[in-house]
Amino acid sequence: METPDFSELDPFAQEWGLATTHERLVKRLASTFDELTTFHAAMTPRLDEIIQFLNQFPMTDIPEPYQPLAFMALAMCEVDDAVSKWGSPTSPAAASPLRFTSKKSFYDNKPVASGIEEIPTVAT
Amino acid sequence: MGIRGAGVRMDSEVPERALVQLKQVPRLLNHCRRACGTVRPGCWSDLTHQITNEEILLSTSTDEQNPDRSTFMRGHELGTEALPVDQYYTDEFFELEKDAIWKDSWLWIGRASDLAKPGDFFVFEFDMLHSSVIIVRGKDGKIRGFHNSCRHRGSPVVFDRAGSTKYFRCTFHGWVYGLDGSLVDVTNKQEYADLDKGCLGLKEVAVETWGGWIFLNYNPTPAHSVHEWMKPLPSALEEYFANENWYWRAGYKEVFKCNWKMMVDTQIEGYHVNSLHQPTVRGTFSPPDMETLAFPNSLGVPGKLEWCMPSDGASGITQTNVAALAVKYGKTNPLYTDKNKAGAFSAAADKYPGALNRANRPDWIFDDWAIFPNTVIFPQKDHMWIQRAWPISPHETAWEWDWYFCSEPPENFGELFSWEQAYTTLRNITTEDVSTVEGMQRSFRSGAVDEMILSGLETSVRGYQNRVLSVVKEYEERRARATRPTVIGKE
Repeated sequence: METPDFSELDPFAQEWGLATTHERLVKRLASTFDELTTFHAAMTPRLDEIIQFLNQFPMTDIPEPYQPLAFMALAMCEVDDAVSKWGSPTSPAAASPLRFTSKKSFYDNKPVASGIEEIPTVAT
Repeated sequence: MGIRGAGVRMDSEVPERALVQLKQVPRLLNHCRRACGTVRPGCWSDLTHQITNEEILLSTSTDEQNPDRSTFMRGHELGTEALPVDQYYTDEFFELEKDAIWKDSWLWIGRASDLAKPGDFFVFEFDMLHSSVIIVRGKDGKIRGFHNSCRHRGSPVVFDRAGSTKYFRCTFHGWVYGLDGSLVDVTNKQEYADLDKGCLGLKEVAVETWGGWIFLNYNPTPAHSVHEWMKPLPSALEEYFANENWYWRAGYKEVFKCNWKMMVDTQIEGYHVNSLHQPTVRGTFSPPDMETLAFPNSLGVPGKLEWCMPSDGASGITQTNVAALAVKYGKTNPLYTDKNKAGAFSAAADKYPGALNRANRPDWIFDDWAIFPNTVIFPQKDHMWIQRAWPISPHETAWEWDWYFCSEPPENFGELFSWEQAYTTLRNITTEDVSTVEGMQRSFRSGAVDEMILSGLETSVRGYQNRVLSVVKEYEERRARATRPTVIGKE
């Protein structure tokens, strides 16, 4: 498959090519609404094409050069509610999602006072 | 203490009582008038399922839609009176719950397939009861539970949370126990004057499985099996759980400053969805169309909610481009059972007719069962959410959310994208769910609100709270009988 030209998205790669759901959440919460909409608007017309392109690789073997692109696509899942529904980086009626601590297994049930860990979702 | 509302539970007197309730509810009377043209005792028509009053209230037999059911109720059949709120905050009730509920209930604690071979174990800890229990598969293949306490002087025999072992050896003085809990070796045994190893095995905790899930009961001799506990869950659902290769995918946990029961209440009614979740999923569900059921005769399944799309088709959640792509590329997008893609989704669940979607509704999205005392499960096509609430104090709860799948993990990026979209949206919805509980706890605890007024759309909450109240009340009555002084010579 020929590699499409996604170079217009390069300016977002450093900020949004984040490897974990938690990092992308923190980025969303730290962004202004304008920053979110700028990223969302740039990605939206290419998102279907990005998914199709990345689908050619085995899930566990997405080439390193394309991993930021994969993470940026996943970041669209993080920012979509904010841009498309809330009109704000956060839901107007919600507890902070930073209160949720990721579990490592079903049995990982000890309450955690602070600190958040996250398992990368791509290419692990 | 008096527990107001504890008498609400209905069993053998249900029909008469329900008719009294029926007469008290003008809305339902109007409903009957519209459907039947009249109102008379025994007349109860429902627009969706045409279930008669007699069937709802009296049937203990099976039917096609709900083969294992005990009697179920909905709407205001379970009563209309406001419920008390003392049970959410008083120290006295919290202490009663420890014996009445937590030491005499089947608790959902694990998955049997996680203990694949003899010697595989995990440790279940419940800090409120100061309890640490080893769950281990024996050489005979049986899964057992043992208090993680050496019979010598009480030191733990396991410090790891999970693993695989041939035996359990107490690090303190070296006593050794087999996988069946028996004491097999004592260091310097000759130093003991009188030691009967046969009586000093690890103390056993009742463990049973249902649908491949592991349940623990702190009552050493539970009055009911977990299978009796889980009625009226359909046997097809048990088979769906037991026969498929369910695996854990994700989860999160958090401590909330509220009573543990509030975390269950919040998750078993849909009345709130178009208000609280207005920012994120407005229009996706239709609360008045969703069946809200209570099972007053069930030991462990007090209520159920059946989530459905509006009859005119879902809007809202699927409107965004990102959500549309999640549906397009996902094999099983957990938030959407797209009518047009339903056939393409998930072969696994379809092998178990009756496991899901009791009424076989085309607009069904997922089921939502309250499992007494602290668990809510949301079984769906090829995946399930499990939520559990563990009390720390009357005002503090450790809450967990876990996501299990039985379909293959994502094989390509599009499937992963679909899961990520579902995960983030679900997390966003859940942050809305939990935004209310700490304020509610304050309202109850301060006395600002001293009763709960429940609608017919919150019947599952009423069923759940009735179960809580009646279990504690029955415990108090048993205890009072047991401690009643004998009056010598009275007879």
